[in-house]
Amino acid sequence: MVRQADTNSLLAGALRWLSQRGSIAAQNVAQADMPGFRAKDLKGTFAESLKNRWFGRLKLENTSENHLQGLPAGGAAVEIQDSQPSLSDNRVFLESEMTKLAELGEQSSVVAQLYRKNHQLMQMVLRGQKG
Amino acid sequence: MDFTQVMKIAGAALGAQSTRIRVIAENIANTDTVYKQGVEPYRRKRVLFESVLDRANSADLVQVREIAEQNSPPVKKFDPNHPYADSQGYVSYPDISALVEIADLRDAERSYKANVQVVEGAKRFVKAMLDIIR
Repeated sequence: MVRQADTNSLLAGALRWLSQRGSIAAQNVAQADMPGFRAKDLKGTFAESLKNRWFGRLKLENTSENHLQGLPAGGAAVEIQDSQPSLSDNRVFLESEMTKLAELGEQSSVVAQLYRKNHQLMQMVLRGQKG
Repeated sequence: MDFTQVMKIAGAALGAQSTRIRVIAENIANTDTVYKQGVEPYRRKRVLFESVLDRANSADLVQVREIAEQNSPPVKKFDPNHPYADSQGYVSYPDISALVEIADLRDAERSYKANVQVVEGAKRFVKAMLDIIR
């Protein structure tokens, strides 16, 4: 059942994208008071992550010369461009990060459910059950 | 999200904001601590954050770099009858404005709550993943 395997990798890609985006949002929230910090986000949308079977890892930020060069960026985290800097040149909007996290929670719940249903479907086929 | 990674990130931020709140509380408590001859005066304290790379979790963790004392001159009030008044009759107080401190406190509280929400979000994510194998 090649189609089923495709669905699996599709959903797995989406879960990875959501997971990665969640980590970046968590980082943004944690650094909401750091002067000069720019909020980051993943490029693309949820729909695109499904289409492209997203697979990537965050590039490690090098904050000093002693850091090793990070992993190659599959899905790059980019800075959010159109944000107003605060007095300390920080560019994180807590509200948008919070709504983003809520959205990610919803989407991950949906994808997890789909993954489960797909798995059940495969089991049904393998066991030869009807309906 | 990688649960361990998010817990480290949010945990570090919670700790840093918590320190910030404690320092603000100290400042507010010492708004009226009069400068006395021969005693080290209370100066307004400020928390300085820094970002430290945690290689094991590939995350930038927020930490308190230092709690610095502000070098601003004291606020002088004219009160010649005060036991600690100087030769001109002025009493020196630390340069702390309760309003500024409370505004800072609100900001710290907001950050703290946001980080708690991040932890809650990570927990929901893990729960959704576990539901797959239910």
